[in-house]
Amino acid sequence: MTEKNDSRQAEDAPAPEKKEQPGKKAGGTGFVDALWKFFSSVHLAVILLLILAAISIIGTVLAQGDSAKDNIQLYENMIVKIFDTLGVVDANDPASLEAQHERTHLAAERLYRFSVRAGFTDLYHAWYFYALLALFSFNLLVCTIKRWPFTYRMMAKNEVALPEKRLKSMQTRRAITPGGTREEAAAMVEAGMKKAGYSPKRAESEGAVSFFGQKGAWSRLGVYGTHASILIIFIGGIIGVTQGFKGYMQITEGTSESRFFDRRTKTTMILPFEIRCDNFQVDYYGDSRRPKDFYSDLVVVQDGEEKMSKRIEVNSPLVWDDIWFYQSSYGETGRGAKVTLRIAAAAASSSGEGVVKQFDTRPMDFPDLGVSVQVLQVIPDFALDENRRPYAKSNQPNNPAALIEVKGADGDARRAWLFQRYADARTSKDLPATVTFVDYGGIQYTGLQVVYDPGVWVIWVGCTLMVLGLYTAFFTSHRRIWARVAESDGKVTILLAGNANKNREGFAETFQSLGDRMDPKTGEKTAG
Amino acid sequence: MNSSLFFNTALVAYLVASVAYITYLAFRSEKIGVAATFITFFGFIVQTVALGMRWYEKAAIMGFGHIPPLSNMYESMVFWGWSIVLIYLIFERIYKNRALGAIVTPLAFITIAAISIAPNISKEIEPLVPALQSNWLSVHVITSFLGYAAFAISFGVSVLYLILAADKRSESFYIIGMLSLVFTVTLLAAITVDFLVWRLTGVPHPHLFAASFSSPRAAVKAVSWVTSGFFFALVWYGGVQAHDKVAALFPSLKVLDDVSYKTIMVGFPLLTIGIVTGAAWANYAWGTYWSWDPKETWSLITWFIYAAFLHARFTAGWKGKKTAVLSVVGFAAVIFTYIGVNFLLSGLHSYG
Ligand code: HEM
Repeated sequence: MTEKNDSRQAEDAPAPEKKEQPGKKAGGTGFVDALWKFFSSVHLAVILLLILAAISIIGTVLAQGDSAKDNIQLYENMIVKIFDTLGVVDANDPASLEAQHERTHLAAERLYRFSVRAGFTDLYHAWYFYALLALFSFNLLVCTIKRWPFTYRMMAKNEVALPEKRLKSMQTRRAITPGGTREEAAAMVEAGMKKAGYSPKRAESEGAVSFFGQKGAWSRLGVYGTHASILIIFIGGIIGVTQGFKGYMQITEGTSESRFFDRRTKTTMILPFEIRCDNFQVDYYGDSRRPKDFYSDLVVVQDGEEKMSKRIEVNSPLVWDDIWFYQSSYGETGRGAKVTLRIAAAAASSSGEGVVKQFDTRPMDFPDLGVSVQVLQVIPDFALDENRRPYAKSNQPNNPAALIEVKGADGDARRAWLFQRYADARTSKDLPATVTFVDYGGIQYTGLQVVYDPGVWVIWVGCTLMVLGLYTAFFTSHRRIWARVAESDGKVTILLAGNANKNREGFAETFQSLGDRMDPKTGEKTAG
Repeated sequence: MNSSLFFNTALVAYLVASVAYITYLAFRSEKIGVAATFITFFGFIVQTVALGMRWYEKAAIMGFGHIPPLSNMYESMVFWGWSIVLIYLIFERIYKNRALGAIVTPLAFITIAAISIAPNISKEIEPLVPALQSNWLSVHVITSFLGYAAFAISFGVSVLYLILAADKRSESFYIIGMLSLVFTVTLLAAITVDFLVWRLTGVPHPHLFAASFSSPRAAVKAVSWVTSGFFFALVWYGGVQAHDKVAALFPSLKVLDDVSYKTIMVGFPLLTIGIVTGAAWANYAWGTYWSWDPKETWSLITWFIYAAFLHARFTAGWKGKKTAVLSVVGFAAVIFTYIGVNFLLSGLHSYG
């Protein structure tokens, strides 16, 4: 009952599938024909899409690219889970697990070996996955090209004067008897169509005046945009894989680095410039250990010159020379120590703050505050010996202390020991600025993802095109209206007919009101 | 005042609306139908306010004004329920037919109820890890969930289609439709029971289905299985017989087919934008727009299935039952992308 074709098929009646393709027959043998037919079939597309979906599933169940040990463990977990469901083992009972361990482990190992051989462990880079994508692209290309002449005819080759029979076979049609002369009726039709935005073309034949007007013909290009976008995205991906690189670099705070480890070639590569990390910091939510943010202050140094500096964080990378540097990880170097000091104006009224880190052995100037600060010595576990001289009781950060020197605007330098734990226990009260010992820690490194991908903009072009194409294909429609004004036995009739490839309900409404305006029966109603 | 009061009000409204829609179907009383629409609309407005409040509460805690409340399972599920109602109300207006409300409002109710009672799902406002603080993420999540909501409606309609369009019981389409129906209804009913028991007794649940299939009490367990078995038998035997009577309640098969397809036509571009903005986000956060991680891959699988649906329908000339099956399969993929990946795949990956 519902399996009947709807009017869409009727509208697109001269489908290329059924029509002879001019020029194709000429050089084609039976085999080429068959091949062409195979690749231009939408059935193939549907099947390929479903196969791609099925294969992708395998890849998500079996881990991708982890170590052999991880994978075997993963498979074993899966097998245990299945056994548990089947009731062979009880996952909550260690004894039962132990009893079956040999079996599950062996099965996992076998499964893993099979996966490796079948390419499942790196499925999305397996040759057959690429082959499938290539086949899919080819299918898409052939299918689209084959469809083009038909679309082109639909858009640009519409006959103005269609025979009466054709108009009468259209689903949306209406006959109107306007009264008056044929020319009056024709003028009314032309004005009406123009007003509705159909800018009609006029033709005369067999004593009848014909009009044709259309709207949104470009809507038929939406599909082409979408299909092209898929190929463009593939091309972008290929450019990225073949021309770009992706790697990882670590920079210890206070040092520069130009080497990074390239993931694909598994070699160390060298950038034509250096990245210096001046500072790395983690901020936490309140007092928790949940990182709110972490960031690195980076400086690009090329030929001994500072080219640019940027504080990078997750979601805010640094870009230099088309190479992107992403904040990806961090950690302790286990070497050296870093103190963080906050410097504020001595008088509470004046504002301004600064931060000093210990690995800056140079004095740091704070022009706003009129002071310069230098860290002279740091002791992780401060204590005084019998001569009341400071020494480190251990290398554990039990009582971090820093000896600093603050120079005021008058050039007067004063020194003081500051303690992280005992903010009030400074040894000198009359520093020209308020200095607080905020943090003590090891020197950290920042881990950066280094990416050069010249294909990425191609990807975004493709994605944009895809979304625009989908919108056009689904939510805009190509509407065509024909009118034929004829006179027989002194009676003038207007035959109005039309169709739309989408949103028929909407079109039917416009069609109705267009007809209403020409029809004296309804026209007066609308006018009055 | 906080948002949870509003959420609960909306939840109750959806429950009442579900009952009203079903009553409307049974008695065909126009008044009840209008009331059902009104109650749904009321629930929707209240939930919209609740979402806005939660956004505000979140911004007050974290100072991230631009991040909508969509960063964990609870928030996204609640948003999904909201989207389902939104898309349904629009379709109800366009088609001037409210029969489908009897399917959609229970779905919305249960979605939100389930997540409210599910254990181990935090309802707290949580601080975001740095990678989640992005505008791309907001667009990504919003469009994905609107898309999922459209697919949910298509799924409901397609199941109905499969059952109503069948001529005989042995037809494979009928079996697929019926199993989907029994499975979904049983699942949703069990969750509703959980929810009601929790609300009435005030005792929190140790896990899902604690008041039915996995109750510690053998009797409850047995009753649950027997009930669902009975339901299965009822649909299995009665489905084809009651066919014409049931069919009379719903829009024609042609309309069902059309709704199923139109909702996918809305969902597909939304899912596409969801995937694209997800890729943009990943690229901006990590420098990789596509890394084949399970979640990404499953969203692509879903996309493939719906692309197959569209082509099967437009160009390969499939209609009705065959495409309805694709819609059911597509929605299974949606659910797996959304929930299954978190619980099954990453679960497997995480305890090695
Ligand atoms: C996942 C990949 C694909 C996507 C997202 C896609 C998308 C679309 C869209 C949005 C339409 C518009 C439907 C309409 O409203 O008329 C369409 C039509 C079509 N597609 Fe695809 N497509 C894909 C793959 C393919 C492939 C591989 C083929 C090759 C056989 C194909 C062949 C066609 C044809 C023949 C049409 C009908 C064109 C017309 O109505 O003039 N598509 N596609």
